[in-house]
Amino acid sequence: MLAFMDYVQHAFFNASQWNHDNSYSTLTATAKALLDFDSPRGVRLHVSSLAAPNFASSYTLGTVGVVDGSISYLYSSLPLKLESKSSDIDLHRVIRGYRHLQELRSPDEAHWWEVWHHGRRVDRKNALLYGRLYLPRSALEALYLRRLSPTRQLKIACVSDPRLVNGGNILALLQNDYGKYSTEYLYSTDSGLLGVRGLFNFGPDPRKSAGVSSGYQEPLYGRFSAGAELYYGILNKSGGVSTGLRFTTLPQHTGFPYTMTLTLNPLMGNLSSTYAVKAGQNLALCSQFDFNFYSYESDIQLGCELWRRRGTQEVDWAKKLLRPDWTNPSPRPDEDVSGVLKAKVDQNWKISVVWEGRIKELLFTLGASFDLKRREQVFRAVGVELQYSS
Amino acid sequence: MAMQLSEESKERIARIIEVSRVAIHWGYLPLILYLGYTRSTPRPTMIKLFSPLG
Repeated sequence: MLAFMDYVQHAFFNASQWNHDNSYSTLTATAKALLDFDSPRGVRLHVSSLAAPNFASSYTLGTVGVVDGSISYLYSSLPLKLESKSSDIDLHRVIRGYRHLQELRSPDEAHWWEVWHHGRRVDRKNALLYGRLYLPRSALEALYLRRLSPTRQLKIACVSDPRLVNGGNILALLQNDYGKYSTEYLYSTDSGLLGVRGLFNFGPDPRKSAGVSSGYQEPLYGRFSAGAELYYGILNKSGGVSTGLRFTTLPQHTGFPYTMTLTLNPLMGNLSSTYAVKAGQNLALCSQFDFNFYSYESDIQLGCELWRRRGTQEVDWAKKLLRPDWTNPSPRPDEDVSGVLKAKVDQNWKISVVWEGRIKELLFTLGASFDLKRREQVFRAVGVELQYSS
Repeated sequence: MAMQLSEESKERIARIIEVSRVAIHWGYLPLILYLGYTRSTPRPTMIKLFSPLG
């Protein structure tokens, strides 16, 4: 489940019209959500609030052997309109599962964002500042986001921890999203890492089709994307490269939505393929197969996501029989959701299970990991995470 | 030819970086609180600013 501050950051992306999905770093987002989900360890409690449309605060207290916690604050220059109460938050927005990619939209023209007053430009670039202080070890995680233009965003992330080499590091990321393609340039002070990422979407260019309002446009059923990233560490003089392909169905597709990805790291010899399918309104399945063509090692992982809904009325069966096309207008799309089950298993019989949902005014995540090969200690970790926000 | 920095300049740069790191480490959260308090509309009360339960 997304932490409250990540939920607020996504609201900032939406409010500033930034397409978070159109990036090489989110190429395998569906497989990551279904297979790489975090299972909570120990007990963790988050209390958060959106005190004003521009300001959010969050406090975390956890215990995994020792008691630790964190204090985080967030300021956004753009007022954010979102459901902040944990009793009202739409579970689809905080539980990451199968990602339905939408059709690409054309970026706004730069002059649309200009605001003039008495012959002077008065608009300011929207920014988000986020800081999190971990206690008692006193490590700071800071984030500065700035929307430089409709197609550009600057992200600076810092970690300051006295126990790290040089006391911490800084990562600067300049992201460009033109709809049809996106590019990212990054620099990290950790070993002087320089990097570039790019993602190209095949198919019609949204910038050209946006101007054409008349005439029939054939609906798009799927999108094929290709991307690559390249890294070079100045201090350790070593590099890295990876390439990836993705095909995903779009909302116009009439069958089951599915997403396929293939990523290749030629230097390490790693080939990874994933296939995820939304097999119904409540079920998504995913598989991942990794193969290393230098060592011939392979790995397979299977995962699923199951949304459990409770029967809303005792006469549901009659309604289905008489009027199958009736839908109840409900105030919230997740009102009948009693919980979401996520499970994954790999070829070493390591199993992780997470149950997420809402109980009264709290959002909860219950998780457990098992190792069926180690008979003497099958349970690896058990945890519960509770979130309250106002 | 690459410019060679003297030992004194290197020390000075290292000290500036260290001072900036400490300033960001302890000043970043107060800065966010200050911006959140002064630039929010409507302006939140002090209690609401700090306490999610307030």
